[in-house]
Amino acid sequence: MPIDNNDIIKAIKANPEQGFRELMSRFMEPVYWHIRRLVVAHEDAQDAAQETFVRIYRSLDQYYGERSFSAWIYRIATNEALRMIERNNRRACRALDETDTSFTADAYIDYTDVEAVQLQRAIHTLPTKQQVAFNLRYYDEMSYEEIANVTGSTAGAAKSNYHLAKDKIVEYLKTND
Amino acid sequence: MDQNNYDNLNGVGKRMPYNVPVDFFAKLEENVMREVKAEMAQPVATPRPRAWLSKGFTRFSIAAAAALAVVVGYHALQSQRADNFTAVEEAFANLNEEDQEYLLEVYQEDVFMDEDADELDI
Repeated sequence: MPIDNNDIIKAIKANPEQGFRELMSRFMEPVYWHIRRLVVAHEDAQDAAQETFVRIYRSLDQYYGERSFSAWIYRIATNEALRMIERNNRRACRALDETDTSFTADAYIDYTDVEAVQLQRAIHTLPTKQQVAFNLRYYDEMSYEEIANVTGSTAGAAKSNYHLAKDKIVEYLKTND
Repeated sequence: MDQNNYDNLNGVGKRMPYNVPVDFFAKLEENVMREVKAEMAQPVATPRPRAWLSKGFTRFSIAAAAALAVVVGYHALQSQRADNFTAVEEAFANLNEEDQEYLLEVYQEDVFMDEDADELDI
């Protein structure tokens, strides 16, 4: 049975260490993969994910329930991923450029899965807000309302960004088949 | 891929070309817990007792200082001063130590400050 977010919050209040372990058990993998899809390189994703959870711990007393707990966590994770990209001078984005050989330098990318690599390349041709909206909808199956909570926009904007992103991805796949 | 495959991205689905080292998530959890436990072990800074400052007065002082900073900053801008931020710094320096600590405590760890404009770009 999946752990309820409210139970996690209660557990943290009752026993911070145990509660925080429950939080990580629930969010560690999805948050890592969310970050990984944005930053691409495993080591960058590892650093950003670690920083995300430390920040979550430091900021827990600033969570007032004004948005869903998941959205709050994903918002911190998204910001950490974008900070990492900025810090690396957009190295990760360049890494997905077909003309850049650094994409092939990451030991934790399976290049033999050509279609999957192509889809990630397509996603990384999108503006950041469309990438985030697409990833949260397509991979994390968030509602548009939740995506809006993560991105600080509206459900309508999230929906629009998702559909724009998907159209562009389909177009990219067609032209780069 | 046919048209349906393109539309549904069926050629790939949710499959990603990314993978992680063995035991990665367990190690990541331990790394995070090590940092978190180190923070838990640090003594919590408790505010010193305030002999005569009420919370309301403190908030008023902060608001007044902020307003002063805006006014001074505005006049600095009008007079084409080279360094507008100096006025804000001066106003901040004029606050007593407790109010400075309060402002820093409240805002320095605010991960969402200016996020919409600067980071998320959404």
